[in-house]
Amino acid sequence: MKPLHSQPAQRGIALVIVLAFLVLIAGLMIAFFSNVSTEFSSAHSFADGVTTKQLADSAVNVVMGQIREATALEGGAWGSQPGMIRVYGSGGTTPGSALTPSDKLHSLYKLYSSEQLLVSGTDLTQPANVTENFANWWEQPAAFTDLNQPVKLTLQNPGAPSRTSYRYPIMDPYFSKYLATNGKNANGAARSGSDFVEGFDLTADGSDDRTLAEDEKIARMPARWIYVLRDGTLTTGKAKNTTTGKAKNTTIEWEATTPVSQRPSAENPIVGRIAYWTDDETSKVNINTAGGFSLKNIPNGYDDRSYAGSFWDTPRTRSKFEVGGQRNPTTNQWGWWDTINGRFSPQDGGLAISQPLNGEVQRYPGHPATTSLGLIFGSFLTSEQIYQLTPRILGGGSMGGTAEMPSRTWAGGAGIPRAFDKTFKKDRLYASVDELLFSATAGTNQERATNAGGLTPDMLEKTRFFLTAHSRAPELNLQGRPRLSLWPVRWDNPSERNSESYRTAADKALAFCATLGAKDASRDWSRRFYFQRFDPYSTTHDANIPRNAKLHTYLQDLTSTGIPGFGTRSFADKFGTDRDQILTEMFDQVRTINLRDGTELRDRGLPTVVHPNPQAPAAKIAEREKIQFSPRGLVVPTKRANAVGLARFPTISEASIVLYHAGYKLNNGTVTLDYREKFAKDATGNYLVDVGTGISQVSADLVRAFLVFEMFIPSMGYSSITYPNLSSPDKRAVEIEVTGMDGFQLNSQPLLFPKGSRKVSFTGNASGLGWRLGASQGFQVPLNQNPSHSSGAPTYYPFQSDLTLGPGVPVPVAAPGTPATVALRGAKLSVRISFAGMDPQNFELEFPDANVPTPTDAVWILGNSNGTPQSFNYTETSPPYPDPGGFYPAPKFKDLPVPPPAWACGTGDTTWAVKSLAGRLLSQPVPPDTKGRYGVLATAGVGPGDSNGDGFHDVTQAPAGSNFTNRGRQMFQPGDTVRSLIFQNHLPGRADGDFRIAAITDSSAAFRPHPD
Amino acid sequence: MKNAHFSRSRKGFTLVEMLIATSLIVLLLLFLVAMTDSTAKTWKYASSKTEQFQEARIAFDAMTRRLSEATLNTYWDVEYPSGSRTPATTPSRYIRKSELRFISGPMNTLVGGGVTKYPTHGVFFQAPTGFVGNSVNNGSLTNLLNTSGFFLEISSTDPNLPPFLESESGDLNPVVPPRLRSRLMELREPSEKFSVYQVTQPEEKKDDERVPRTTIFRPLSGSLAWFTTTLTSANPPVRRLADNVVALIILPKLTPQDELARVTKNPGATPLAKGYVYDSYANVYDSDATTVDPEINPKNQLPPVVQVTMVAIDEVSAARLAAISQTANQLRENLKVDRFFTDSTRLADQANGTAGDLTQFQAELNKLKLTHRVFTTNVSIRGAKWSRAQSE
Repeated sequence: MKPLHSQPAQRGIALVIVLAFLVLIAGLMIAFFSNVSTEFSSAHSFADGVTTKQLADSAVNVVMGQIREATALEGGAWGSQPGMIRVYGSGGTTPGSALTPSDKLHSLYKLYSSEQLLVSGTDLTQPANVTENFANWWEQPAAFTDLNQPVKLTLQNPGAPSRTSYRYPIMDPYFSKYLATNGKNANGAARSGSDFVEGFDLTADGSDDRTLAEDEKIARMPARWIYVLRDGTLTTGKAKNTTTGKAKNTTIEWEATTPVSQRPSAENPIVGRIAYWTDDETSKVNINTAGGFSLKNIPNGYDDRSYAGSFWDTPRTRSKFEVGGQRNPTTNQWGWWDTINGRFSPQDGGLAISQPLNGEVQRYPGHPATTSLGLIFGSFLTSEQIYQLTPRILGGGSMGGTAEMPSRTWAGGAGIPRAFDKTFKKDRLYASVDELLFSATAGTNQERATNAGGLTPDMLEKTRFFLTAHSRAPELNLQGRPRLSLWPVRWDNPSERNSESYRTAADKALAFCATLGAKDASRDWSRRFYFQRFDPYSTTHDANIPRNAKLHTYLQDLTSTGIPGFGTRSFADKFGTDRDQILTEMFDQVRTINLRDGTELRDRGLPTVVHPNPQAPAAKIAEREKIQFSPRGLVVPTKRANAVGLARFPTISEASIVLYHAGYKLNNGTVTLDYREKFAKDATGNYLVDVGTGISQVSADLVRAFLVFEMFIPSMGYSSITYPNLSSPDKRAVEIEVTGMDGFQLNSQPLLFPKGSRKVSFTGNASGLGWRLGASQGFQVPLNQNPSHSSGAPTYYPFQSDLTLGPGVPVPVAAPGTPATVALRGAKLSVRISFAGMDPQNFELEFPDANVPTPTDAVWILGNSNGTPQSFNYTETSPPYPDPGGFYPAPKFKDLPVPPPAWACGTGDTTWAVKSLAGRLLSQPVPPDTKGRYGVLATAGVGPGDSNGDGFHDVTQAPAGSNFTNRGRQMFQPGDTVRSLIFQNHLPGRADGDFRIAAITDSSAAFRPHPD
Repeated sequence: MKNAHFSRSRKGFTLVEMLIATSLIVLLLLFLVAMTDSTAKTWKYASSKTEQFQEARIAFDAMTRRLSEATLNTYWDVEYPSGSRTPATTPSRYIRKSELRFISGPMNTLVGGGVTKYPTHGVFFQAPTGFVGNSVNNGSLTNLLNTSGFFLEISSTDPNLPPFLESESGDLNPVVPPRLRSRLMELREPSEKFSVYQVTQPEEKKDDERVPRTTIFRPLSGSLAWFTTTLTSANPPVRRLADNVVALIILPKLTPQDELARVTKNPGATPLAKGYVYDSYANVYDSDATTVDPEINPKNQLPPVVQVTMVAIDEVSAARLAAISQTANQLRENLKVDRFFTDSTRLADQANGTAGDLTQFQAELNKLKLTHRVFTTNVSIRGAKWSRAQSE
């Protein structure tokens, strides 16, 4: 027994020892593993964070890949919208192959998570692929999610009541809430989302989750979950239709037809899922560039009576919009000053009443596309409040065309004085939409001031969806290639060291914008997509600038290929050989822009007055001409082998021969040219004239002729045209040379035109005639002759009957009662318009033979407003004479009754009718007038001879007895016979022509007799 | 008897046996205890090191992520010669502009004034991070702009201590004893107090604003007030991201492609931030050149890439370091950190075998037996669109 007793004691100790050690080791191990698991879980949570970031990045990468692919398809045309890029084109079925331009939809690149991210080919014909199937999406949480599900934010500060805010990731369905409480607009009509943001609305489609509150469901935005497998595969599954328990429809499955690589498996499990949506910032209103007007300015809402945010232009008519104000109840005319209320209605502003104030140059609401913040904030803020938000656009002034001008002396009132800060705003640009909350100025307590106008965080939350701070978009054409700038830049002349310094700030900026990639000191021309210009007076220089020639080829290339999005036909297919002509016209159009840039003249100390300025130093003028491409407003057309540009250069639109009554041949064989003779009729109807030496009978009328050419400049423009002349430093002038005038005959006798060719050099400008901006120049321009009228020997208008060859062609007086006609034999004129350095433009103008009315001595006379002749004494010797208020055709003098009416009689003589129109078109012996202007065909021109400022030399400037008078107005008289050739490139259904064509053709055949 | 004697003798141990057994057990136990203690110590050391560096890693991650969101909101605008923008004045040129500013460099250059508590570099910039002071009012605006900054600060007090743990100054028995540490700090100026728009900058003049590549542009006194005022205020809006970070090196760079092109073109030219200074306000030129090199002119541009390098030590090392350093200055001197990181061309090891600044600094840490780890990454700034064009 004893050994039995003693043995357990021995074993027990060993057990205790073993157990103790076990406990010790176990404790150590537990401690170790607990440490490891803590470590593991913290490492795991860090890895989770990384994974989440990777998943988010993968969504961004998918979208970037989609955009890159969609916008780089050669031959395809793409357009972006929120959530999608559409590509148009055909073909391109194999990846990487170019598309054929077409107007057919080629593919849809979805920028949101969807079952099929790229829909193309035959898939496009199946609506299921194009339209998302969102039926009962809310019952399939494993397949769909609501991207716009709000996050409830409980915002709290210590010691202040908290605020609950729902943060919608994409768009706040504010409108439905607003509609619920403000369902009617001011007119009593039901409001829609459009009442808050123009053109936008939300409608519930009724298929939504009924358990949601009314205001929550309206902006739900379902998108499909895309599952990410471990190997990076993105795949979508179908919701598994489980009908039992809480797990209803919460699982997802992959169909057997899904390729194995697209299915999750044990080896390639799901590691995450993503759902996303991509917005298009370019379809939002940019808070940095948009201006703003608000409907709040207009009590009754926006309608045709309201002009808030309107542009301004010179008012021209008396319409509501042009004048503004109200309609006068008596005269029914606009612009009525409301005497009862003592004002114009402010909201009825018009162009006349609400003119911009001095310095108010930003009246457009926003940039030329007139994007307006008022469309977004119109429900909250007034226009002036919005202008407090805009960083660079000033409000005030005419209040966007809704406020009356401040100084209304013209309407008999003092107006409302308003200050206008002429300094442009230079606030910081907003870096994000949320920054709209704060103003640019400092507030109190070292905090930023909030923007005036009551913009609240709440408003920003509601409208964030429509706003952006960055909305850049690529500037490419449909072919995906760079656009060409319309702004011409001075040539980078290799032989000129500092040609860039002659570019203005705007030139440089626009050149920079039209240059791809970085500016390079090595002058990498291949990156520059703007035209350069240098010589306005050369037909070839600018076109031959190497880069310009390259760009011409580039345009030829672009116009020879089909247009993505529209079809395979190109411009070259459409226009054929005219294509190059069109391109050349485009080049000249660009070349003709901004001819006389005056922005930097003052800063550079250069003369700002119209060239030529004899007072300015020649060096300054030369420098000025480097900045200004063509200070005279004239640009010679570009000529290529098969095309000619329009540029800004005169051509002929009409040529006329004017036959005029020049005097009388008496039956005694003498000739009188003096229109101041006294006339009467004898009892048998013969015309008698008292020439001072006795009474004679008139046997024939003397007829002379002159030619006039109506000039036409195809390009209208702001820069006024001043013709360079031979006395200017460059000794160049536009000249018109006519040959073959001596072919004209009247009554089988030569019309006394000079033989050979004669030339006229243009000079001066067409000021006062209103034509200096281009288009029709009238016939006066060629009459301004060279040399300058201040010096040199007199020259006479050469395209007229030469008095050295005879006093005129006698045409016998027709028997009473028979039509007085005379045979005019036409001539073929060669007309040549030339300019130094330019190929001349030649026309062959063929005047046909015709029987024409014999010119008579009927002239313009003064009359009163009823047309009754009043006075005839133009060249009476005692000034002053009244400014003629109008001219009325008088009857032929020979036909005046006996005794003549008082107006036709000379002073103190009641028996004889006296003519006083004199000296027209005499080639001699009229001397220069006191101002040095050669008398014949004196023309208009504001200058020393114009005392009343009407733009014409005064009647009174004619020296007494010189037979020289106001020719500018009286060149054509009622008794004249005019026969014209006019440019008529008959357009279908029209009798007239497009004169611009005359500038680019030598098609003489298009000049045809005037239809009248 | 014999049997009985034998059986009695078998019933017990002799003293010698007992002594031997006991001493063996004691020896064994001692060995086990020692081993356990040593394991525990090793474990504690290892885990504390991991934890330490994990905090540093998370902080590093947060810092680089925030840095990548930096924005300048640049745009092109006309420049007026006289500074007045009226319709009557003619603009002289177009230039790239921005009202925001990105600045990085040695903190003694950035803050100036002989402040010694900020070792190595710092970076200050704006990002739309939506940090607000009044979250009830503005908390829903998550894209509001903030001025952010990252820098190191040596101090005895932990700025993240909750108020109930804070002690009065001079308290002999503080709740949390002061610990002299070098900490990675983040400056977050609440959006309501966002001040960069209010800081007066001079009118832009091409020549006036030229500075050498090693200098921060201070055209006016207080022109860096947009972050210095906040940083040096009584209760600055800063928070600790990580303890025991002893060096923060911020090196703005070009993208590898641009850098290669630049070096190919002009092998001898200075890199973007030779002296680690990067200031998006000034036109920068090199002291050996008279012209501004447009290839590497940071004027109103964000650096495309910022190489962020951070050296962290563990808490044990930090405590040891603190024990031998009484003041911030002493701590800097002990680390010898001021000797390094002034010339970015010397940061990495040279091709000729010369050890770079980073290697030398690590050698200094090893000499002090400070366990450390180096974190480094290249942060590409998403908002950077590096362009060589400056004005037109």
